[in-house]
Amino acid sequence: MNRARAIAQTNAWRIVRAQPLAAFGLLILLLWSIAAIGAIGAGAGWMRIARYDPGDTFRIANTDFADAQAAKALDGQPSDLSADQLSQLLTQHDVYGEFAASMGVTDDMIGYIEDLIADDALIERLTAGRDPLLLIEDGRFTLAPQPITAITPRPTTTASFQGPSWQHWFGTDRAGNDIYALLINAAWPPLMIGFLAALFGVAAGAILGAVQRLDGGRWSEWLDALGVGLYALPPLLLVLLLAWTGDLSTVAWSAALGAFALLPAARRVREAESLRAAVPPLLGLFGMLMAVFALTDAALHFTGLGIVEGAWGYMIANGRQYIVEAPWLSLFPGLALTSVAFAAHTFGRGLQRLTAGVRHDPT
Amino acid sequence: MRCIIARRFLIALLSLWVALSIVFLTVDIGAGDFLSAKLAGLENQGAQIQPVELLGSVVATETTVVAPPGKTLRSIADEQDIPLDELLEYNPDRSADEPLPFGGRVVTLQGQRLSDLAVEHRIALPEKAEQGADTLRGLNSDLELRQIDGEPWVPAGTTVKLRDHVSVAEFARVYRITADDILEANADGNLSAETLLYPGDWIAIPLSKVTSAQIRHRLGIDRSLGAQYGSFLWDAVRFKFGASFQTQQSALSHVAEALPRTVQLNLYTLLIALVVGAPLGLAAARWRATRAVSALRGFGALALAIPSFWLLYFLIGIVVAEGFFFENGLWSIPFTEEAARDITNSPSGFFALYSLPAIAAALPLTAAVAAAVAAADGERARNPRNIARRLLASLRFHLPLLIGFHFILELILGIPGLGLALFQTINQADAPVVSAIVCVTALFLVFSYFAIDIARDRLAPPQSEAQP
Repeated sequence: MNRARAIAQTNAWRIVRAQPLAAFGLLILLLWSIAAIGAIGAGAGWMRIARYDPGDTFRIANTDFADAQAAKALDGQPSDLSADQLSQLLTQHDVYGEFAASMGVTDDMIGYIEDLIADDALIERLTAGRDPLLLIEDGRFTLAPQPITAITPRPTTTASFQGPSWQHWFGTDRAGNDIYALLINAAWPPLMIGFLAALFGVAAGAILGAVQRLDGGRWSEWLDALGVGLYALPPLLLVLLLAWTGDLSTVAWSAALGAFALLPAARRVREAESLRAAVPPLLGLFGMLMAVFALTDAALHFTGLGIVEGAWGYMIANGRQYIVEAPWLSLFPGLALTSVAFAAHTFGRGLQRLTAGVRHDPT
Repeated sequence: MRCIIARRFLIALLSLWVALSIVFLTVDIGAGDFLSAKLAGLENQGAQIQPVELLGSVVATETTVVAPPGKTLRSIADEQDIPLDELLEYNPDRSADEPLPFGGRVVTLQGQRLSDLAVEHRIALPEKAEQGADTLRGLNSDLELRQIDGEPWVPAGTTVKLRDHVSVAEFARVYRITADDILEANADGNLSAETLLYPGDWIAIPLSKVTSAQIRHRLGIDRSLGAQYGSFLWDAVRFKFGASFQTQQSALSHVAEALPRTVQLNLYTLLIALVVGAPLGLAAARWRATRAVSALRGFGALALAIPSFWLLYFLIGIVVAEGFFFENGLWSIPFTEEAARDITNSPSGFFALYSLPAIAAALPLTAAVAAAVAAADGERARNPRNIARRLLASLRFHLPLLIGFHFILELILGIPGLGLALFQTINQADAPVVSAIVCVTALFLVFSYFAIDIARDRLAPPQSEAQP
């Protein structure tokens, strides 16, 4: 018994030594999978995936955004509002908009405005100064014209844009979120979509290839048209087209990506000596395609046309305007994506060599 | 041999049919509801009921355009086919080669195109602008018109007669609503569909009556599936994709304008990959050193894994941003310079603009080329045919991926090629242009696949001709 285990261990070690890149890829894939499953299974709390800064720091940093939103809400209202009416007008959640809600900071903003109303300081604040936000005309508030250079203020916190440190390994983004926590939370789409897309594509392609083998490929060669037709719509294009037809589920999204793989998978099956001999090249193709589809999926999210909120592609896109001041915003999601694609590719390749009976890389 | 080529060609045609059918299924069938709802929203634009005065005549004014960023008067003159001298005359405070300020207005014509007048004053629908211009010409036979760019235009200050009278039904048509909609909005008047309206009359036009049913009719998606499919295929094989919903120009002209930029970017990338990748692969195979080959393999896996759009951002940040790695940046990227988008206009500008995306996209392809060359060279003693066959197979796999990722790189750099046009028109629900872009891409890929297979057949050693 012990001896069998010892042999198995030695074999495992041999395999690792023969295919070090593949073993490394497997390790990375396992780590990301554990992280992804953990994040989904245990909810956000497990990895401390919450905005970590208290509301106080937020209030100090966000006077501009709250003031601008309050001014907008007061536009067109009579200027002699009572404090009660003011607080009714300004303490509704929708005043602060989707953006504040998505940042999870609406309550902080309302608290800040409530304090100002209690001190009678709000109206003075909005109407005074060199560039007031509000004017009073004919007893009504109107929005003051803003200089064209003014940009819409957006919530930031005093915890925003902190560089990598022991407390925040990968730094923080504009809202003060921990990038590492966000990364873990969004680890499942590249893994799952990449895997599903490659699985659909390779499985469908293998079936097509097997059918084509039946008569030696003479007549069934016409079936190639199916693969070439799908191949002529690069994965990106097909998904973009489908995005018009309605909200796509993860499975439909993956299938649309995977359609591209029909042709290469069918070719590998058709050109192999036997069905059994087709397995190694298919495994290699699978790893490579998983890498390609994970990247394509991220690229689509990067353009803002994705299906998963907060995916790595979105994170890269969100960081691009801070690429000089806070490069870590894009850097770490990009590195994470690279690691997944690299791992899938090398692991697939290693499996191909192992199943084909290649114990050592031929040189 | 000829038989094989003929069969491959037929398969290519069949593949094209498959691709077109998928485009039809997604754009024309699947997206029909989305398109009609989106277009109805765009055309109604919040307007409710608008009082309109029926005009009998107007005085033509000058035509101005908001100058796109990076343009000069010279480039506008070139594009619109207007003599530069005239433009300088209309814009006395500007010089020919000074970049126009962003958002600055430029007078392009001391007058208005007749077709523009016809659309603006509701003589005809935008897609029938030519007919409207003819109508106006008939009404104003004594006017002296000038021809610019093949179109008649009216000098500024000239009075143009628009109409004697118009019936309610006819007026409703040019607003894309029905006569009943107008009658309903003008319930207090004694109107019927045949009532004639005269210059000076005021009438309420319910602009928001453009319904998705009307748009479905205009798009032709209220017909039977068979009829739609037939006309889609017949139009596609004749390269007729219709007019863009946004600009009313033919969709194919948008593609023709964008295509050269995309082609140049792709060719540049291919060139880099071949020039760098092939020697790399040959060297690795020649040394036959374990380390060199594993290093190449590791590099290949890494190169394929790095997202090119992400890499491009960092390349831009490093090259352009001052003081990141280099004091003044390496070179400045002419993002908005029109001339830089074509190598024949400005070679230096071309390289400054296209080099970074080409490098970013060439990385995975370079690795693939190197791997193909190394594998082929290792197998049989340096047979160029064998290397070429391997290269072509690798290219066949990577070509669609290359094109797809280039679309996103164009988006990042703002190069108005096919990719940028695609993302813009996807967001604008401009189905004709989207179909045109996708179909042209599919056509190219199907036939490059065909060509690569033929080339591989020719390069195949005679004894291994088992597989046709």
